Amino acid sequence: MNRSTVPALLSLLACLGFAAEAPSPAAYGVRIETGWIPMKDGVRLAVTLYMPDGAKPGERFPGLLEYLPYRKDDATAARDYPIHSYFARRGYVTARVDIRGFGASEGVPTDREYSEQEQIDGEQVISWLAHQPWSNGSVGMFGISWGGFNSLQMAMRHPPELKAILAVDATAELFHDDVHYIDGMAHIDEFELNMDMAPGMTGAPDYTLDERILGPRFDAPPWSLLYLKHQHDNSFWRSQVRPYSEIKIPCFLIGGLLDGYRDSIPDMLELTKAPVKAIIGPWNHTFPHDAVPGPQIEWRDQAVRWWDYWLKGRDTGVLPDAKLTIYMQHWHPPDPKLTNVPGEWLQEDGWPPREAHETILFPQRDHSLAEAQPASAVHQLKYIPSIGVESGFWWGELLSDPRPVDAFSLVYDSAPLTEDLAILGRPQVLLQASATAPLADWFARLSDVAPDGTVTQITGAGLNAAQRDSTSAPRDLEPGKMYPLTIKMHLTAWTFPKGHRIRLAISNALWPMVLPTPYSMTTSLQLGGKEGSRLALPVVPVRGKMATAFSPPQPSEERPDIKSENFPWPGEWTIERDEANGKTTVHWSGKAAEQYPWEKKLTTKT
Amino acid sequence: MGKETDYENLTYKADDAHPESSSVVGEAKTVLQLHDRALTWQGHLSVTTDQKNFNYKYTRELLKDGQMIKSKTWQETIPRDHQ
Repeated sequence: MNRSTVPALLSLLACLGFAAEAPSPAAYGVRIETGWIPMKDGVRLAVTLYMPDGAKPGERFPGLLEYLPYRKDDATAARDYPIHSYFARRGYVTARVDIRGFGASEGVPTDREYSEQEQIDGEQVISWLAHQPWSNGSVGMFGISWGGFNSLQMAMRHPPELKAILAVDATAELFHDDVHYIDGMAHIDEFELNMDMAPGMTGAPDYTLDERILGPRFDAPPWSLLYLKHQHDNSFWRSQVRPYSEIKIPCFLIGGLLDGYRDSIPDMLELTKAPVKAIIGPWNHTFPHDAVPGPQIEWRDQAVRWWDYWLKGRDTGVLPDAKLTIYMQHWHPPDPKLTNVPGEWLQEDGWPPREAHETILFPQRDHSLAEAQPASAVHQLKYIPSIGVESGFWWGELLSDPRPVDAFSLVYDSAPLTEDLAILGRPQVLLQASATAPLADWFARLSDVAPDGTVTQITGAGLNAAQRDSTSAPRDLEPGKMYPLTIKMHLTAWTFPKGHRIRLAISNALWPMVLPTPYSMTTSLQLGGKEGSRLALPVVPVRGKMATAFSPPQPSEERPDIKSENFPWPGEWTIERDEANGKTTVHWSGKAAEQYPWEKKLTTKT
Repeated sequence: MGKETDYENLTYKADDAHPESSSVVGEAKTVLQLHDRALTWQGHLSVTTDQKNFNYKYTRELLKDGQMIKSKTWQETIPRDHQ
């Protein structure tokens, strides 16, 4: 069946009376209740329930769980309300639960993120929700980032009451894809700062200094110390997750082309046996309704369609939905302040994309990039550990022009394109490379070069060459020996316009995203030959604009009793270079403030 | 009403002539202005590197009305493992 027949068939089915049911309307008020969920060991987890107000006698609702260490009574209270109230008004009881030892919950902080204890507790929370008097017995789980990670993890454990999940910006690859070892290389950012301090705090509104509660929290070891002791992939990183193929319940995934965790979505589309539906927009690490850059879309209505089908048994028509709706980005100049990424929505019935094919381009001796296999040559690069600032912090966010990084990289540009060229997937680079040191990282970046020379970085990835054969068994390089190194870049969707050039840039540092390797060195890139260095692009046909299908964000309800100012990220970045001594300093700072109604009772009704 | 103010900063340093010598130093601070007291939780993270090791130090502190009431430091040298 081709693309054009699908809408016609759906229209026909609708005419014949097979129309999907409308998703649950906003038929209820919202009542907030706080309480405790008892664990088997006696610890109680704090919960805020967003209840549908005005229910008929005997009416039952599914439960939706969001389960986080970020304190529900202060840190996320303003963020929670517009999401949880949206679902509550449509007939769901949503539960915002603080993880053991964090915020308002009792107990000692867990020893790491996504701990076994967190997951054991999570199973008990799900069971508790399913057995409340208001429950219809079905529970869904959702969240962004941590809440998406643990939604995936709970789905992998098969608690019987958990019927479906919605995970935003999440992955199960805790070593290679999370923020502690980006692409397998050491990374430290403000998340570590926050999560090292968070266990030490007591909960709002009392912030007790009672040593029985404060003491174990304050003395909880910082997680960054633990993570620094596990520098390669092993059971430490694998024990908290199971393979995607073990997920048996339906998964709705939302990701961003500017989010560091986006590769999980094609992986899950390929590997998960249960129904998977995904939306990937041009977003950073945000919910789509308030994403910057946009375009912003309403996702909560899509979520209600999803929850209605799987938790209420209402045929809202989600099954015929495309498995993947993804935003094909069009060219834009490098601009960290861009508010809307130009582009269009595409739909795919699975992964890999139906019409994708590989186009191979070879770095040439003259630093061009072309389909012809080049004559044999070696290009050398002196390792400059301090380059990389302009290429971003986690293969995501909108960037300024990366030419300051390119200047110290091996750069290969195609000829100006004679027609538009669209790519959708994960470009892959094979490098035949050597180093004069036993340890080296390689980074490959893909950019769009406009006719005026402006460069927009699209995607990239790195490889710790010690992990060339295995992320779990790293081995030194033999200095001078040539190795085949495969770098799979992070997911992208981008249309190069006619007249623009494709740029491949290779470097051995991308700092401060990744801590520098410790040896001065020169690296060599072998060009030419049957197995020579190359770039494989996942090319797809340039398609016309699809009539999609997402609503603009509806106005969000906000808690009038909380006032927020600023958000720490992206904050302010400055770079100082001491050219005389070759020393570089990057400084980042962020600030936020919120006012809370701590003297008021939290129970409210709207 | 109570007010929470969060401050965070990070400083990264790299030396092109000595790639083994890099550092990340950061601070996170949460100031809670309550009706009867001010509480400040803050953490200081420092990771410096040499050719063989990561030198790690983290200090968590709690201040009440500007006076330090609790402090704890973790400090370890961790061998680099192919990083």
